[in-house]
Amino acid sequence: MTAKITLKENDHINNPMIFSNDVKLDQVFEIQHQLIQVFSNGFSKLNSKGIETLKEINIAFSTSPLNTLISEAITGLNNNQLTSSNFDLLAIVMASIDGSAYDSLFDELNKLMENQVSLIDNAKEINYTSNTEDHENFLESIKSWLIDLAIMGFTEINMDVLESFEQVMDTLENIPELMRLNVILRGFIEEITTEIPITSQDEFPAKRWLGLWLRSYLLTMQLPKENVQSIKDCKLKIIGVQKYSHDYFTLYTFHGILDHEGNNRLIQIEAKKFTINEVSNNELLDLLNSTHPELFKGLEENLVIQVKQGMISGNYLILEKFKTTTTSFDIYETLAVLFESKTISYNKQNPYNRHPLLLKYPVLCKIENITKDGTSKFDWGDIPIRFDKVGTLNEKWKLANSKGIFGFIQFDNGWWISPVTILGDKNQYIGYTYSQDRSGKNVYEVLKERSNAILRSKS
Amino acid sequence: MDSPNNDYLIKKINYEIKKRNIKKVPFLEIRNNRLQGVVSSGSDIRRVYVCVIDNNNNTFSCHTNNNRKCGGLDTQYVCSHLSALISQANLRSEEDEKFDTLASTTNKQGDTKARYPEVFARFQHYLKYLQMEATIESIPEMEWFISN
Repeated sequence: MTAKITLKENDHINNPMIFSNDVKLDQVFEIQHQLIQVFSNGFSKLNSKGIETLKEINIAFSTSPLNTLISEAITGLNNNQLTSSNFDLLAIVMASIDGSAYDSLFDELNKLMENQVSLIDNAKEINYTSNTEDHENFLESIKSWLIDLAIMGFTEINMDVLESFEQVMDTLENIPELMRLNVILRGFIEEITTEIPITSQDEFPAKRWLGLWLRSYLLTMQLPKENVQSIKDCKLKIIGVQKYSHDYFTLYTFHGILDHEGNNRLIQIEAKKFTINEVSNNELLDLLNSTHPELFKGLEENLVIQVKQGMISGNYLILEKFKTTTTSFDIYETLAVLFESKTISYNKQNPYNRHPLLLKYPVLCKIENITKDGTSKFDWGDIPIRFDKVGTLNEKWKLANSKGIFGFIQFDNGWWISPVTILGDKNQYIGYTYSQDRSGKNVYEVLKERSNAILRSKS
Repeated sequence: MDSPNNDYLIKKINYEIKKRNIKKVPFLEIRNNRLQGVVSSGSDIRRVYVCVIDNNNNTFSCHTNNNRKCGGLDTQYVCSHLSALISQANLRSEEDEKFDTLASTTNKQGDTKARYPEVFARFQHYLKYLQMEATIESIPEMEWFISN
């Protein structure tokens, strides 16, 4: 019987490159591509090609300290031993592959960008305290369901499979410590719901689902925590905001420059809310504005925020005591100085969060380097600025009178730039768009009233 | 290799749902080939009608949240609540062919074996999200869900 594996025991996260060093990025992508096929078809129907894929993983990890365990797990999966411990190891291997791809891409990009930012890698600063230990048995039930999806294959998922899991989701929603898992699983399930029944492999985003499956699976394991650092008396300048959402959750990520002990760190602060997709963007912003007024004021009026007390974990800043000052600043000027002097530092993701999709490299694109067709010119190539990612907005025209764009170079089947702020006399925040039309009904209030009346009455 | 995020989400982002009358129809969805939702009572805020148009067995139903069959429902004709559900669903039909197909009530019969408990539970669950509070823990996984 294979021993139970946890992330902690394997310590893979301190050594993201646990597979053989001579494995190249294109081989990593090829393995990922083949794994998509295995998960789409299901482990219950593992064909000779699928078995070959698993063998290739085994070879790729031949010099890894985990080689023996991986070899056992792969042999087990090939022999239809679809156990939790074998899937645990497979998940670790897959996360490691993702992490290695992330690191390779980040290193490549940093070289291309001539180390414009100082990258901080906290891989060695992880401790293993976990707040999920109390829920180990419950997490096993979620893991078991995820394994069922892998065994049956994504193409075979039907509504019965999803509905059978709703009771578990109900319990999960009542455990605040597991909010991360709740949020990603809810988003994943809603996406599956809109896509099934799947009649052809071309019909659904298999690669995306594999990513979401893996991220969910990892969150059912004992997750290590990044060290938290207390900070006092710092200055924070908010330089932009990005929005992420699915049908039941919305997150605004505020990006800021934190002047901490003489270092300028690019950090992010989250403002988030469970919601439903009928609640409009305006309403959501109003709600978040009421709970985070200082952040929004800092953003809208470009005012320095005095942080008296807070906590930093990786790139994330949690504000505890803070207030907006009356000192204003110019985002473009601030960024231009920091980028030119290469004095801006930025954390890489936590090792177990590393995936090419989460690679974000801060960049200041000056207007003279932006072409009319929406690409930013660098010495090493032209990178498209994906304005289409910001929905129906056509922001290109606003560029004409701007000084440039602050954004992130990201990777999603190629490099692209995610614009965050169009910098000018009046900055345009792409993730922050109040509609001029305020005439719509207040959906949140109507449903809240309905909710209070119905959830409290006997049905 | 296909893109895990961009291509899929851009389509979703650009899909702009027309706002329905949330007061009249607070909940509406397509699930398992059924158009289902909740329609408000005009007289009692604590009462709603759970409406289902089921394309799997060609039936429709309307019950209150107190498990009473809608008085306006006939075996041949839809009641005002089902009509409201259909008209609100039709607001989306331009963008969503599934709604268009399911909203058609032709050749359907009233059915007493309704799925109202399941739909009502989904409605309650949906409302619950408005009451839930997010913790301060960061959620890097939300990067998978790009939005506008």
